[in-house]
Amino acid sequence: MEGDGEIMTRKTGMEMIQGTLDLLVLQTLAALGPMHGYGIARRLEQVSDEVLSLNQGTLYPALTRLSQRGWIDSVWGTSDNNRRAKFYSITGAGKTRLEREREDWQRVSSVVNRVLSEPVS
Amino acid sequence: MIRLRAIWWRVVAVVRYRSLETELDEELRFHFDQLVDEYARAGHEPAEARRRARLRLGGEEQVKESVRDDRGLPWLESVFRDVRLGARRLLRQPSFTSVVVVTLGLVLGASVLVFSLLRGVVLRPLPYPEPDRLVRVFETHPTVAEFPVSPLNLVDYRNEVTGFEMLAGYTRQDLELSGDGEPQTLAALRVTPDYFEVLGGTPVIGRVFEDADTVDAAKVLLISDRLWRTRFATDPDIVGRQVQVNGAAWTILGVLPAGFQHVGGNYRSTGHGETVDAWWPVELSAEKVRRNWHYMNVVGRLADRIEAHVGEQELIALAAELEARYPETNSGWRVRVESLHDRIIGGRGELMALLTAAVAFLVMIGCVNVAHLLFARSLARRRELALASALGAGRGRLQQQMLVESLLLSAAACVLGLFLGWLGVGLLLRLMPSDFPRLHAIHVDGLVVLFTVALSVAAGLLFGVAQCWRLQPPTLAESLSEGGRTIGGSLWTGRRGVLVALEVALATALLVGGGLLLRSFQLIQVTDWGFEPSSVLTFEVNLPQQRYAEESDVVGFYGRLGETLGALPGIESVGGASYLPWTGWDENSGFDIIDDPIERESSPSARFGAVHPGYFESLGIELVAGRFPALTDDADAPLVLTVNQRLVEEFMPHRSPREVIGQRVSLWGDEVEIVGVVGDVVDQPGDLVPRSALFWHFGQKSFRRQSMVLRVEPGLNPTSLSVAVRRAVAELDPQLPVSAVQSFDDIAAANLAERRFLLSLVSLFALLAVFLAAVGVYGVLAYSVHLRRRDLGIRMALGAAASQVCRLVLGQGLAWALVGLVAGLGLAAVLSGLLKSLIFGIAVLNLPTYAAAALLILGVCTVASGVPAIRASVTDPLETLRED
Repeated sequence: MEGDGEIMTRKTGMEMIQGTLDLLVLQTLAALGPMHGYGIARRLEQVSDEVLSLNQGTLYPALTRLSQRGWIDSVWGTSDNNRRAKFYSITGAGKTRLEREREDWQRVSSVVNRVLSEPVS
Repeated sequence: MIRLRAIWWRVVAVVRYRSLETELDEELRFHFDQLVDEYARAGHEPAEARRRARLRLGGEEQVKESVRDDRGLPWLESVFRDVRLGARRLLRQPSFTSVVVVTLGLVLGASVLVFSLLRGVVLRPLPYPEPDRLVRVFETHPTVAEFPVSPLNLVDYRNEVTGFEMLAGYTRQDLELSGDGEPQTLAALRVTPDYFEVLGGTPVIGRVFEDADTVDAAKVLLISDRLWRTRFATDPDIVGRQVQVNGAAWTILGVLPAGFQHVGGNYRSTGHGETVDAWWPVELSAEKVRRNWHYMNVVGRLADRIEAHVGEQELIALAAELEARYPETNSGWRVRVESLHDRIIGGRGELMALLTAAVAFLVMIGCVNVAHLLFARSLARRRELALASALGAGRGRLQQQMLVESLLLSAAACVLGLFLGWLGVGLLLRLMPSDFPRLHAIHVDGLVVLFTVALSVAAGLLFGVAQCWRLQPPTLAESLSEGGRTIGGSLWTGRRGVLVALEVALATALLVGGGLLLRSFQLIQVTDWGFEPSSVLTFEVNLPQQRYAEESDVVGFYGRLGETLGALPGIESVGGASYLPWTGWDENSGFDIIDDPIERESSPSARFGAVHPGYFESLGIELVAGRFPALTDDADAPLVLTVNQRLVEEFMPHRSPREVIGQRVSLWGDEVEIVGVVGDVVDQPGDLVPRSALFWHFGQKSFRRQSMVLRVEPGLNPTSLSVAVRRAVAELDPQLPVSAVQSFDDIAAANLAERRFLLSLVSLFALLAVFLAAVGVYGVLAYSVHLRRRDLGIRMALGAAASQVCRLVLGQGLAWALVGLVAGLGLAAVLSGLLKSLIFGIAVLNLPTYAAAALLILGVCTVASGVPAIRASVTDPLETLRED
């Protein structure tokens, strides 16, 4: 199989960001409005420069979790090419969650940046 | 909050499983199709596009799995799945499943039975407020361990005692109700007014007695709820209603509620329960009653925080005071106090313990059988488990499967057991003697159901865990190759043999117990009781004071009655007496032997009664010396007496019965001559020693209440004459109630009922146990043969004769059985103490019974071992060697 080594790194890359996948999905839905699973996956790939191009299946457990917590809603509709698809949208609670998580993330990352920007002796 | 919502979502997802699966399927298919389109647009061939799309999306089943993990309650769903699969698997093996379920169901049913018994009789508090403060009080004397209380003594105790809140008295004295409707005898108690307060009985309407009501002239009564409903059609104006009682107008003061239970008693009382129709007041004045008459039953309520033995001490001290005050009547009399609970239930302790032990044995045997079956089956599934394990099933998952299966089996057994138990309790209640304590409280109630469910869950878990624990998931290679498997056999034979021996031991012990009870029961029935109870009809009549005021009236009536009854077709002979054998009558009187050569501390005392001519003959009681009562013994003739043989032995020990004829005694102030000695009759079947008795002749001393005895022609059913008898009485006096019409066989049966009930239950358990043990022996041996078939096949191929193989297998089976048998006999001997009070006439270590049980067990085990042995010997060795 071509590019075996690439597949390995990419898979690991996806899992590492597994925890923040929820956050990314919320952001995507907040920014771009209701989308189906395929659309969300494509968008995440684009934004991340194809790092997240494999194992799109891991999206679905994330969508399940987010639905469970009431941060996204889902409804069946028709896609652009007239196929039946499930569309997800962010809820009010989801938006609140997103805001809070964004603040946390920024706080954490600024601290990390500060630590990492210290000169190495 | 979010967590709660998440959990709720998951629960809902479990319920909506199927629709969510369909949605997921459709969603993933959409995603996949989109990806395929994408790759197709990029120029790939359809097959290639699909491959890449599959890679990008991930394996469909894997995606679904990870969604499922997050979506529902995966553990619960796996349990449901196991339940479904397990049920299907069990149903595909109907013989295995049915054997397990039936075995467990039978033993669970037995435990439902016994537990219902325990629950109703022992484990339920008595239906009175603060029942542990209730006690029964008796008086004692050096010559008698337990005696009713003298009413005048009772009055003094009540007035002076402090350790008791109340001391109430009761004594049975039935009332004859007439007027509108059939004359009816009411089971009635005469009680002191505080009787109701002691027992917490508040009338539904009306009031209880006050002190003003306790004069004989008051003519008031309280009735039971049952009587109110059946006789008075729940008349709302029942309070103050006048009724004809004992020929006079009495007033009903009130009605006691349904569920109000009498405390019972052996003497002058009805049994424990709702056994009383009416209550009326008792008068305890010194004019009407003498201090040395003991006929009151006493139930008392201890004062707060006073212990029974403290109360007893106080009463004993009071009794001593009374002794000093009234030396002629009270010398030597003391008091004994016993808790009401012990009184009502006591004596059944051994019976309960025996039944509990029996059912425990049965349950153990059943469980051993089932455990072995399950284990054998799980071994057979090793291959399947190895494959599952290789395909990724975790150990925990496999164990969960086995546990679920065990629980399914035990759940099915629980349902069956509850059903069988419920049937059994119904049957039991019909078998049990009607005076068994708290009979009415025995039924399958919530607690029994809970207990059974808990027991079956425990059994299921135990079996499941045992299976898991013993079964290490074998390596794939090991179990996929079946060669060289002799090892599997011998590894387990030792332990299985122990289990089989255990089963046999328990079954043996049960069988011995059942055998002892059976033998004892047979002995009772063939023992010479001193009279012939079959073909005898009896009934009771009580002449009211008002219409039969003079003794001559009473004598006249019974004389005419005897003639009328004697003339009825089918009657061989007629007699009557003031009491019948085996009915619990126990009134005693002192008497003095004139010119008595023996120095005595106290007067001899014996049971007294009055008999009509024809009584002894009708019952078939033997005449030992002298003559039977005759019609010539009337008021004008000299006073005469008949005594029984026991009286002669006890009080005139050096004289033969013939020598006693003509002896004069002083009884009730009269000088009487003994003219007859009759054979003894014991109080209760199963008693070893009869009591001394003396009998007035009816023409000379009459009692108003008489039990008439009619011997019918052989072959005739005594009760077929009941109607004729009632008519004969009605002709002489239409207002006279006739009660207790029954054949003596019925009285005998009622007395033996408790023994028969115990015998039936224990025999049933014993037979079941033996059957299950035999099945166990057969099963284990057959399985062991199956495991060793290659070994045996080789032997036979190398020249061993079929009979040798047969003997080998048989020997193994019998070896286990013998070990179990010996252990079982030992166990029975050790536990025989439980049976001591329940057995009559034989020692608990009765050799013939033990030997018989041993033979039976040996025979059964030989057959059970023989079958697999014979089958092993006839299998073609080539066949077994060929299979792999």
